[in-house]
Amino acid sequence: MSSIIKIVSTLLIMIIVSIPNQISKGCGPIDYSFKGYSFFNTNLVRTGSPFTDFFLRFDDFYHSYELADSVKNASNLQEWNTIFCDAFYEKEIQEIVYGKKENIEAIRRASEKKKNKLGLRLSRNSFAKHLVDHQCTETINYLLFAKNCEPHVSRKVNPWDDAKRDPVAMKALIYEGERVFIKLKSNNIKLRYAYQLIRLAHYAGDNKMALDLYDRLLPRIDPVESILHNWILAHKAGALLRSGQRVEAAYLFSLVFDRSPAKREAAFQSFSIRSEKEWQECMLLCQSDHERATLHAMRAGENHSKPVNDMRAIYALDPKNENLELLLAKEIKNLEKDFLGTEFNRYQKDNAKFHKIPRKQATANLIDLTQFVIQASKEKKVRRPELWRLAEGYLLYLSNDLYAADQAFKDLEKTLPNEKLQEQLAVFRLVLKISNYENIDDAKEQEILQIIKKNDLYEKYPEFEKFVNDKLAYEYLQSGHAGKAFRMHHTLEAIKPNPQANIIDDLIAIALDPEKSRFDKILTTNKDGTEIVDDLLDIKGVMLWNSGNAAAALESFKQIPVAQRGKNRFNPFLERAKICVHCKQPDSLLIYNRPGILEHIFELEFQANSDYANSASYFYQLGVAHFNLSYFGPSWNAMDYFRSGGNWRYTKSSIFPHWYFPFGNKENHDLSKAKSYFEKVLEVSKDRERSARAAFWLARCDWLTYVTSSGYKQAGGSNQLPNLPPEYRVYYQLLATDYAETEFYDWVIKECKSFKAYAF
Amino acid sequence: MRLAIYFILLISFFSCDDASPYATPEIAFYHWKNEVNLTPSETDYLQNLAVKKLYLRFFDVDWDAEHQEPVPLSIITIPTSQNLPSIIIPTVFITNRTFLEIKNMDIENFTEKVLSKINTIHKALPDAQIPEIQIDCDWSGKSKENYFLFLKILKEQLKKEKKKLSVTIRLHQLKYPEKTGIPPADRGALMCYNVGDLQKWDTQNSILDDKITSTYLANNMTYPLPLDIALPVFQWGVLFRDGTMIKLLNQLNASMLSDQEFYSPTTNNRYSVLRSTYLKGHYLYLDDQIRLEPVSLSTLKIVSQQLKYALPSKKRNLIFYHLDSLTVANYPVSEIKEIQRIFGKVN
Repeated sequence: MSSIIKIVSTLLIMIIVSIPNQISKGCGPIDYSFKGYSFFNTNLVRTGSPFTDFFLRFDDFYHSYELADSVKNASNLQEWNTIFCDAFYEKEIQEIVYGKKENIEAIRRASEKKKNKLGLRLSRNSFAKHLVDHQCTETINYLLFAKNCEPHVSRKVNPWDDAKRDPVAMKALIYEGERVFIKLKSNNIKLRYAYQLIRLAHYAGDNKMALDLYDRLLPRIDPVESILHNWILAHKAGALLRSGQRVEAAYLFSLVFDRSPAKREAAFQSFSIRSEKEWQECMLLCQSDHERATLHAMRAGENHSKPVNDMRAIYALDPKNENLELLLAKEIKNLEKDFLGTEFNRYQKDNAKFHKIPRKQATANLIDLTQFVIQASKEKKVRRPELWRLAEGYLLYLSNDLYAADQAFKDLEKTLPNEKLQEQLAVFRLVLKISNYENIDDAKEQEILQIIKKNDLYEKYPEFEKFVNDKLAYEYLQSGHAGKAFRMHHTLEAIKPNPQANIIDDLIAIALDPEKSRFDKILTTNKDGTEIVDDLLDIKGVMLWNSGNAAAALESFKQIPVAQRGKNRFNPFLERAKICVHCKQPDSLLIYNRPGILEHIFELEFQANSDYANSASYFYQLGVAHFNLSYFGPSWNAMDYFRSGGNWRYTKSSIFPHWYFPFGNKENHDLSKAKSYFEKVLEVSKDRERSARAAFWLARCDWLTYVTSSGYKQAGGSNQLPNLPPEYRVYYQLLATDYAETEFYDWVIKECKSFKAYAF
Repeated sequence: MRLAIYFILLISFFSCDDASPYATPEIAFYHWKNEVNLTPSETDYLQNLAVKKLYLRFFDVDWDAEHQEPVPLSIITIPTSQNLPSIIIPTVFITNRTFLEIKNMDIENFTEKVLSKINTIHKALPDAQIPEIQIDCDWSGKSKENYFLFLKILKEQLKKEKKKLSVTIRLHQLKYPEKTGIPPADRGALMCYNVGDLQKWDTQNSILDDKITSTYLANNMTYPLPLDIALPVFQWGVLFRDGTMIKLLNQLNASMLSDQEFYSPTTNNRYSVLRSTYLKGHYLYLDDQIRLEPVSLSTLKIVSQQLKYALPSKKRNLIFYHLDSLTVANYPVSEIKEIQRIFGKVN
């Protein structure tokens, strides 16, 4: 019983791993994204650093005003609360600071005793109540002033709004603010006025005034700790940049980048160095190695950067700089794309074509980073040397030095100080173990099954699933097991539209092997627990039948137990007046399964070649049957598993790309067999009516052959008849010239509107 | 006075040739910067070329994925007292993804916004004549329906203001009109630039390559819209890193890559970076590669010949992209006039 449970559970896993997931072909979902693996857990370097999110976006650079605003507002509210000794809920402060101007006006009136009472809602707000009770005039006036500034400095809600900034009104506010500033007592409020005024001047486009205000106001404020220093610095940097002082601006932007999470992204975008000279000048402005290291970090943080040299510089200047770990993580992620499992990644061609991965100089980049990481982990000057040791082992693994990687991981085994790092080590070791599997035998398959079923990391890291499947598929292909390789990614359904002999034969051999391994059992078992061997024999029969080997096809069908042969039932021997792919079969119709059709065909062929008096009749039936079994006939499903109405057109070898089927969908367009039988009818028949019918079938075959040939160009109007070349009109003309006296000809003239266009 | 009239008549007698399908086009320029601030040399350049018409990019429109709506970007600033040509054609570049994303039912409202924005910016040019508005969009099969609806509504609106609507047409759209569709506009401007594959290192010159243009042009082609011709007068460098195109280095020229300590010319306008350094605001790394793409006068002349015979026309504009101090320096007045004459000459 337990073994059944095990098999079923393993089956479930295999079913999941068999769900196809590949770059689309033909109609279907399109996914051109890079497809590879990654086992470096970025949470290792997410230490709450304000840089984390910025550096770990890995080139997926985006800018969200809402995100920046929310960070900015949150930190501002926090600061307001700090000023008031964390006495209020931030929501209460938010209601006043980012709420309606009327609220603040009401607070002012109440504090001035003009109207003693706050409204019901505001009186419930303890921050508002505090401002009134303690007559915090400077704060209330500032909040009102800030509200007046708001329309001039906020982003337009409607981007199509034509309203322009009003520099005159903005400057009037600056003058008003300056008058107030002189009389202020609170340094916090002074700083906030300074921020408002400098921002107004900057946005009014008066850079000189912005810089002038900075120089005049800031020295008049006693030191207070505030996020606003960096916000002010950002406006100063902006004003400097606009007034052409590029280097000073770049330096200040780097400070803002370093210190202000709310302004980090904007500072990064505005940071610009144009030349080596500017870089050197900017370095000279830096007042500490940390500041210099930040410049290098910003340069290394650019999209498509090659960060190792800048990492070396950061290391030399400030080895404990937290940016180093983030840049390390970023570069390892890039190198994983270049090297991790590239040999067996089934999307390697698409990755190279669409993403140019592996990068041309990836090896040089890997060597460069590995050398630096070895140095850093040896010298132990970095914040967490053990992380660098771990990275060293992983980089050695990516360099394909599996022995050295293994040694490095072994050395680390008992030295890692926390669970996160220990788990990462275990993940790397599992990756290494899977990579080491070659020449897969029963024992190794058992090991892999144990990993799939019992290893917690396999479940926790979803990347393992595709890593294992791709690796096994590759190894199976190397050892000539195309079928097993195929099953690592696909269900049998995926091969049915265009069966491949090497895959089917391999799977049949495994399925029929009485001593097959447990792993092979899983690969050759259906979802419902039944074996896939009958399906495989059926697919093989269809494949052989299509390749013209009907006798071998019958043999294959006959290996299926009789009870299992009749799932699909057809009657291709029934003649219909009009071509009809999806016609409903009459209820009383004699029906055949696949081997039944073949047997009847063999019987007709035998009779055609032995009963000469009636051979024309047998040939005619054979022609009709082969037509009906083609893509154009109602029994197409006997010789094919999948048919698309959209494939009524030309493609090379009749194989149409399809997003779900790895080998495409082969349509049975070939009518040569049907034609050969109808031509025999013309040769031997003495019945003019039958010959007329055969001629008309031949005309139809030629028409269909032409419209699915490479030479056919669709006419402009959808209702226009194809312009059939003369060689495809022969049987139309034959019917008109040689069989005009037949009843069938009369029927054709009456029913077939296009006949005249081609016959005369 | 009488003598002058005789002289004009004489000139027109010899210059008019009703039988010839070719005529000298009028020169115009695109202005594609965010601020209109023509230098004296640019103003002289326009005057020496007798330019009466300037296609002024007013703003771009792109899709804002965050707010799920089209937004105007890089809106032009027009300071007062600008010495501009008398006729201004406001030009709006709209990204294809805007029309891929926008809902059909929002297009009418979007058209109104675009038109309103144009009219607001127009107020900064009180003396300019605005007989036409141009929309630049490289539409695709999937965006065609929305784009054409936008144009249809815009054209109807402009008709009320007695203005024409023109659109840019790419070479593939000229060659395969039945596949790409004919935009519902009054006229088109055939963009004869950005013809090659920018992303491929092997591309000779992605801006202009007469071998590529020749594959799109044949003698006496017909297109349902009257076509102006737009030719490039700019250059750039294309930066490749690890085999991948990274970015464009605008207005890069060979002299900027002459320092042999940092750059080594390899072959055919291609350079390797020998030492990491900054170039035009971008940090280059060792082994980066640069493909310089100048648009030579000789190529411009060859393509002009191709265009002349492909699209004979008696009246059209020859628009150069784009007006810039480097254009003035690299493309002398006499050469631009020579290109202009190519379209009128019968060889």
